[in-house]
Amino acid sequence: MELFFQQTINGIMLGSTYVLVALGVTMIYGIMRLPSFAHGHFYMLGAYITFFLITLYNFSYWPALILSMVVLFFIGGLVERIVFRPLREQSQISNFIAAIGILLFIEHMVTVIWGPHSHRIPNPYPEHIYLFGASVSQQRLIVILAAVVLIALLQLFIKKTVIGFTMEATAQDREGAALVGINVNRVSSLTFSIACALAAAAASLVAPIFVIVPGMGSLLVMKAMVIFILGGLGSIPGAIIGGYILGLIEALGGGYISSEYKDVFAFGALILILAIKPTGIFGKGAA
Amino acid sequence: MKRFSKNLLLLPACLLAAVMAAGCPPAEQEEEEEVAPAGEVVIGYSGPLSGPAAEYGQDGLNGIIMAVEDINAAGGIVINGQVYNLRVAYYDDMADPTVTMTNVDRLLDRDGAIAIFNMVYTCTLPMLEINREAGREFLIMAYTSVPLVEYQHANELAVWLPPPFLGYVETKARKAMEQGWRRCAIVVDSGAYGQAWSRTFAQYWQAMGGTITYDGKGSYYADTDFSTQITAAMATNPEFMLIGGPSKGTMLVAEQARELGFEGGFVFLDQAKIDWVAAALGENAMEILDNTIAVVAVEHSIYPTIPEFTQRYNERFVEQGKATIVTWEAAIQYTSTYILAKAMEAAGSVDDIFAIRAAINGVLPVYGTEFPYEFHGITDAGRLHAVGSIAMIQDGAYQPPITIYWWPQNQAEFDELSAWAKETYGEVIPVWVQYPPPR
Amino acid sequence: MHEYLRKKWFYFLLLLLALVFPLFGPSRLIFTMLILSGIWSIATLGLNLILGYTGQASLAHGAFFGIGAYAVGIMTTRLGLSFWIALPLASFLCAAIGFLIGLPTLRTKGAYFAISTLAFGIIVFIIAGNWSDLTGGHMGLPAIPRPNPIPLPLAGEISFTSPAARYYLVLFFLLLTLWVMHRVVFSLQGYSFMAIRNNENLAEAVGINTFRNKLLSFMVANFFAGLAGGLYAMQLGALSPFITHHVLTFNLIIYLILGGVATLAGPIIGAITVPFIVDALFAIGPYRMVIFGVLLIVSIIYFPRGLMGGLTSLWNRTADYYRHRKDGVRHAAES
Repeated sequence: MELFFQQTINGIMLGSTYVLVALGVTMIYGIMRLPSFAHGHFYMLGAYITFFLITLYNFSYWPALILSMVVLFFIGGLVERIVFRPLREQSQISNFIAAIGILLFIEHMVTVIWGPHSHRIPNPYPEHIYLFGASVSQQRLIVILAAVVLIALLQLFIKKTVIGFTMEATAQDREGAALVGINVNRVSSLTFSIACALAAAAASLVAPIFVIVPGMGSLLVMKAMVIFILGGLGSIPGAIIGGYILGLIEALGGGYISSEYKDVFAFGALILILAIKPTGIFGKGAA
Repeated sequence: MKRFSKNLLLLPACLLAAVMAAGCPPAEQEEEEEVAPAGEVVIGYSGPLSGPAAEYGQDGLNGIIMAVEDINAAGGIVINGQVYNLRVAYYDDMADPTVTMTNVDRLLDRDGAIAIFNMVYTCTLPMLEINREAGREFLIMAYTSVPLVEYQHANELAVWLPPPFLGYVETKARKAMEQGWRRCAIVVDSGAYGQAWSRTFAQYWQAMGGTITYDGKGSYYADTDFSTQITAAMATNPEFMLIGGPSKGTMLVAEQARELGFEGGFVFLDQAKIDWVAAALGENAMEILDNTIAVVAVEHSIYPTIPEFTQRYNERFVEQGKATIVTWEAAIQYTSTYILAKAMEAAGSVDDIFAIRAAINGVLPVYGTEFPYEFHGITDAGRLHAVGSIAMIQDGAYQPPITIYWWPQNQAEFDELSAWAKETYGEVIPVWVQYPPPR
Repeated sequence: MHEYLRKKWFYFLLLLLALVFPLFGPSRLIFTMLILSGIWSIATLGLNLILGYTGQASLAHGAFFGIGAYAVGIMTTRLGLSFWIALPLASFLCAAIGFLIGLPTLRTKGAYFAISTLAFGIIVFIIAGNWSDLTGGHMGLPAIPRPNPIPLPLAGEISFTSPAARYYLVLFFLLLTLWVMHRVVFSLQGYSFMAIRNNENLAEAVGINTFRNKLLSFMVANFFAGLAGGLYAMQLGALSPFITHHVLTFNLIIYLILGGVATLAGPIIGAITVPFIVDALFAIGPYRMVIFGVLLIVSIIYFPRGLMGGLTSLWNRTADYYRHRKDGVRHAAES
């Protein structure tokens, strides 16, 4: 039972980062209809920025995290403006190619400038505590809680603010939104920015317990893609639940059945679910 | 509007291209571009310089570069009165065999390389298929410690540099037995090396009377969270965990295991560097790594040349951001490059590959009194007699290293070797591991 | 026939060039790159059918390439089959697995299909690395033999140890692929595929069985992915799980889109041009992939229809220009 509880906590912790990254991918798809394969690399960039703020400019952990989110907010907006806006009328596959271009650019730029080796942020909360017989480090608990807070804030933002309304309206009907006077370009920019800021937050949260390397987002973005499909295209509740489910599948499947085929469970679950319900768990219409 | 945004893109793109064209040295090919009156011999390298294995690849390349610089600074190599300088030509292959193969053609056609260093086994495999074509022969300097591959892929133009890991497996298993440990849980890298290593270890361990309580894997390159496997492993009450793969992942596994409350020991695969892991773990390192058996850290080696080598390596690479610490990969590649140069001199040729390969037997041994690594000879199958060495951390301190000799054929040869080692290096704990293992 | 030659002279010239090319004694590097480009071309032509003509973005194409490669590798080493038997078997195996995977995944559309095929690709990668008894696991599959020599009645035999022989072998299969694609695309079947791409609901409404057509297209595409993979195994002589990685799929898509999607020449142009550009970038050192990323973005923005699209519009414009001159018509507005 203790084992089960420990694995469940491991799964929720995994799921927390998945959710934050998958939410970004989902929002971008919802508004712009583009699969953002470069999102894992914005995540990586966020971690590097936090790292440099802490080590070079002696920021403490939380201000560095927030500033890193701000920086990624602007970088995201810039990328949308420079790369994806000219591609607005192009096919998804063209956007896909552009995303590959961006991820190659970011990953190799980081490798050349900061080296291929890994970096570490000193852990601000290294102690661990025992919960019902399961051992959890404080930083892991913080990751779980911070993810919940960020998810709640995002929901409030979308449901309670005017900008949030316009985002939701644009996601539902782009032409309609444009007709009633919503500046669709600005909404797209903002969405991309928020998505990148969320990725930066996720990366900065886990950076003290993991390591920072140029390729740290590559596998994660694949998981995020799975989640956003699993949850249903563009469905925010779908991404949240999908993220936690995937984390749990991995932890329990990897822990109880087979660790080498841990990722097979995650990706296999997707094919299985789509075979039963071709539009994902929460998906409504066709893509 | 659309036109405007396109221009907007073009501007930074052009700027960027201009900055890079101006700012970056054409580093990848020419290392030395001095106007040399001498001839030139090109040593090739294809390995991962970007992607997950980049640090490993860079360490190995650094060793070659440093050796070539040292050899040239000392006047190059002299053959029949003609002076030759060495040059390293190197290309990134991202550990992708397809790219390795085009790199081999680049190195042969464009650079005229006579030998090619490679550090990733799956990339070396296709090279072994083509290095003996008439008129296009080249020497493969293969960095792999997977045992017996030199017999499986018998290749008279391949040299296998590092010691076979069987020596490490057996010595580490014996050491673990000495600690009174019997129950072992495996959480190693899911890559080629980790798998081959842990399977072999499990065989030895069970033959010695130990038990494997859990056998799990994790992708040390791609993954960062191993709590799932560690939790499952700990549920089987092991006395120690066999972990390892690239140092980064190994460090995370060790740290996460302690976080989850694991109090037993660790045995590292030889790929993981204990000094790298300790440095990355920071102030709690010795606490976390208590009761760890691993390959000895370079700085704790018995070779008297190491302090000077480390200092020069740090100045040349670590301070330039080209490496984190000095590693055995660098030391081994450094020394092998020297052997290659000596072999060319001994063979009296810079392009007769068969003669150069044959001459290697004659230039050995090279010892740790002169080089940062030592090779006592070479087997018939082409594996250098490379010395292995392990150490254990206990009570917050490194214990003296154990030195592994795997090539003696009988007790007398081993005794002679141990006597020589004690005489040369003073405090040495030699052990003998038979290789190929007796059936 | 004369008319046909006059229209297609350019293609015949290219074919002739390709045939006599080895006579000029190119370096081994050029040979290797062209052989690989030929292999990528075959795979990309397959991808073009499902993605370009049928409009279904399969992200498992690299995985099928890998399955083909491993199938040939395993059959020739462990089962001792001849390469000439293993190659078609591997291709049919890929088509068959494509059928099985297509059954669940092709029920989904758009991004759902793309990501579920991506998931299948990742599973193939993990299996290739972990099923050691079959694939050799992460240690790879070494020592795949070259194809058996083909006996010739008069001149002895063709052996495949020389790069020229392998070049012609790949060229032969490339032409075969091109011919099949030509026949498929300009048939009623091909028009059904394109109808599905253009409007799946409409295609359904006019009586096209869209699911069966998509499945057929997927199987044919994977057949050629497998064929290309088998040739790759022959060229490299050793395999590792990396060949099933989704990076390969991404590369093939880049070749396809930059070459020109839904054209027959585009995939080949892309599969030749892009690797040669990457090779040229080696000269600028560690920044090469950074520049490559920028190039990708710039070219997709400025040439969304790829090089083939760019060439076509250039061709049309010059053709228009000459037609206008001939007619003596001056269009002031043109400038």
